[in-house]
Amino acid sequence: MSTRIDTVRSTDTALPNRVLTVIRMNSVDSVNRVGGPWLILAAIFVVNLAIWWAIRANVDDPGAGTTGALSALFIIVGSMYLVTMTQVMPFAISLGLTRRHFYLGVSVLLALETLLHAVVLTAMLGIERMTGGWGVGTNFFSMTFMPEQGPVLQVLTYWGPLLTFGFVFLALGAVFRRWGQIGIWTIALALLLVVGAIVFALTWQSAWPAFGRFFVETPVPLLLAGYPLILGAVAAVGGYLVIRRARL
Amino acid sequence: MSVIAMHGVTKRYGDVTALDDVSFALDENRIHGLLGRNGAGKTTAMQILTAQNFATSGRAEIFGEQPYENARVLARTCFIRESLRYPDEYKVRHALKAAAMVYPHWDQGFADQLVEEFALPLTRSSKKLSRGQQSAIGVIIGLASRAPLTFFDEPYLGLDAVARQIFYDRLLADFAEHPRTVVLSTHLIDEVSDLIEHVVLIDQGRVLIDEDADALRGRAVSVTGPADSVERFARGHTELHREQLGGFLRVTLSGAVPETREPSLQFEPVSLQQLVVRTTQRNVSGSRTDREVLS
Repeated sequence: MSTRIDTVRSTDTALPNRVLTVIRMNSVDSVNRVGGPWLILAAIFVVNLAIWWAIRANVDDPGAGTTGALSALFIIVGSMYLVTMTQVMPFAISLGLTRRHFYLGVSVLLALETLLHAVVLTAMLGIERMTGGWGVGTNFFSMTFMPEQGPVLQVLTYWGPLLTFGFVFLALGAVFRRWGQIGIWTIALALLLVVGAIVFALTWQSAWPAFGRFFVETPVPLLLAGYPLILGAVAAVGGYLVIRRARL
Repeated sequence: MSVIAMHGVTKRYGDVTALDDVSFALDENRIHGLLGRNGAGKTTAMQILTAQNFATSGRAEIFGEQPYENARVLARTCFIRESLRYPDEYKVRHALKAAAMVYPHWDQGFADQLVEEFALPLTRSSKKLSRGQQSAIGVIIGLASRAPLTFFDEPYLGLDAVARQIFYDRLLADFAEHPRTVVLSTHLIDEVSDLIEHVVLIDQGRVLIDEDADALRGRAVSVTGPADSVERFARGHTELHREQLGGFLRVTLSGAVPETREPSLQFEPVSLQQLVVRTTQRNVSGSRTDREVLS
């Protein structure tokens, strides 16, 4: 039939094109996606500056101004990718996308988005160090025991944990899609048992000093980017295996 | 050519059988009505056809291929589910923009026109939409995507009668210009009876009717008259339903309106909705009798 409109060219459904489509469709609200976390981080940042300015004004030497506020970015990125699996995926599948293409597209988007965050964080860290902690001696963008290192290593040090966080939450979202609340509770319970077992073993073997030494002696890039990325890779593959057979 | 084919598909959830050895085929470029009660298995059938769900046994095919993770055929489908929610962070325009990116034949002009006709607020966040507005997004995506195979699973929830009529009118007009295969699952059979060309009726996971709508319209007749005359006429016909009021009897019989008519009897064609309701009721009471006999 010559009037048929269902002639989708095979190139349209080739993997790179479909993955690109997924990235584009997930970017429809990119202003919120990228802007949102930074807006919140900026708000936290301003509050932090004000507080540390007030402390410096009243206390002679309050010590290093560590804040830990950066964890907010991790939590926002994590929750965003959780929602991608629980809310965006059913919509995308209804539009005729496959699970594989959706998951691949979202993974690429995650890698790109977190890389962007890492680059901006590195730039902010540079400014923070140049200005002596924004003039009030606060460590907003510096994670604990983060050494001075070249920009590439620094980007990796931010990127590794962010990417890992994103994949872990993608995997959690996949578990929720497949098994619902029960799946999430099972994971939480399993995690509790594993951590409990580790704490028990370390205490029983009096191995806490060795445990502490591991963190001090492992090079920081390996500790913050290397090991987390192994976990991230496991979560990425696991998430795919879970979503492959999920009902939607 | 069949765009959809189910071969002996069975789906069980634990000890509940949602689909029981279901087989049917749907032709290309027609509007098919997938009818049946709540929980009859309509949604499950559509989910299996789009690989959102998995059959326990049997084979489902679209465009002659199995659909699971098959981008070549899935890319030609659009499945507007009654229960479809849009991401909380999305505004209406985000949902439409996302759909526009996915479908190569998306008609933005048509989408814009429908947004206006349904008075849909483009910048409202999806979680603040009324049920009807959520349905309107689905209807717009389903129509403007021009997917060669479009499933509408009760897409009208919360839409008022005027909005539903807009949907039916636009579907029919656009279908005429851009033929494609539409599967419309609905309870409002009277409203769509002029629209659908072919009917599949599912009840309790089984196919009861799989026929062209035109053939079905002549498939049953209701006969009214004095009880004894009606009884005499009804003998030898398959009876779908009976209502008695005093000495008068009305029976719904399977078969066409007869050429030679008894003057004391009144013959009326049975609407598609009536036929579906009577056939389903008969199936329910029939199977109940079976169970009683068995126990």
